[in-house]
Amino acid sequence: MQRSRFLLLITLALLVSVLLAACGSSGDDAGPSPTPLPGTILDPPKEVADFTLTDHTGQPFSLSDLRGKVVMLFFGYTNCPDVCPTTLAEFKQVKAQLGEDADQVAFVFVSVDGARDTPERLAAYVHAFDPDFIGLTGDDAAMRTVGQDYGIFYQRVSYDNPDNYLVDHTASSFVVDQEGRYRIVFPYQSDPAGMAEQIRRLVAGQ
Amino acid sequence: MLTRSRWITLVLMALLLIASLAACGDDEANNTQTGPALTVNEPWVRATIPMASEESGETEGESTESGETGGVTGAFMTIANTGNEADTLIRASVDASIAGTVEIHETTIDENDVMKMRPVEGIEIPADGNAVLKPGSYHIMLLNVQRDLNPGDTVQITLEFASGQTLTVDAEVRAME
Repeated sequence: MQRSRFLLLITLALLVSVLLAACGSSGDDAGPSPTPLPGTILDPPKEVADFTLTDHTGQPFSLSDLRGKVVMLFFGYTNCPDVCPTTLAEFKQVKAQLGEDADQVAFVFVSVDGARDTPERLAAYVHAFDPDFIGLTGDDAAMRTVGQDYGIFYQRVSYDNPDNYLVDHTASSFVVDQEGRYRIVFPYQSDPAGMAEQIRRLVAGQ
Repeated sequence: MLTRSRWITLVLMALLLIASLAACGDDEANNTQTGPALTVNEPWVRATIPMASEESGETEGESTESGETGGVTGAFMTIANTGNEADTLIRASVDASIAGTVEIHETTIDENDVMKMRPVEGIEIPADGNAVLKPGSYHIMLLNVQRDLNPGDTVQITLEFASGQTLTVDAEVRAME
């Protein structure tokens, strides 16, 4: 009798502790683990061809015009309501995180929708985020060449709205170093602080 | 015979058990009402690109792609369903002075980090659950936007659900960033 009551007691105690454990947020904070940096570094750096497109002022603009700076590139289109603005907002955060080093970095939005993205439209778009951001656009042939070096996929998609089309596109960001070599790729929605840290290392020549 | 103190311990344990069970379980309001019960939280619209000079001024002859005259933007919100039946958002609309077309889209990012946006038939709001419309996921797409939408503006959006319910929400325009 006594023994069975005892068993009951123990069972109850176990049940309570199991329930509490299941309930509570698993408190296994094993101290501050260093968060890994978000980008994939290309080692050795990839030699990429220079390219010339049209910038947001309507002038020809070459990647080599930015020689001496670290360049952060994103390929998108202005009729993109969520991924592209999110990324440009992150670029803005990266720039803020860089502080004084931001002078050594150029932020470039390359349109994969040259048919709709005129220089005026690009200017309004990139400057809605930062007056220093650069917008580039070009025809399909020019874009194909540029895209190949960075492994960019993009494709127009028509659907039942005849007045509109969508553009599937790679949402990663790419970093080119001061010598025009492709060095880092960041997946979509990488942590801005982590991106800034990796870019800062490039600025410092590491 | 169990001692008095053992009995007290037993009772305390039982109480603890009940308390922890209560804390654990969702407090399912045993509402007698059936069907979906929807509310919309934090609706917002991303500001449009400020287009000082409207492109329409430069049209030469035919306007082949009328879709490019107006801009686009997205509307985002959380739709909560406290009812015991699912519902589906099937249509959204705004006044024609705001946007020419409104569609429901979903953005996905595939394993190659390629962004794909597609129109969808509807967005299900599960029973006792939420549908979250946010960047990089579901959103309401405003196309052929007729005027600049600036931070601080309000856009009235009408949401229609499969159940027949209609909700009208005032979405705040937030900066692009």
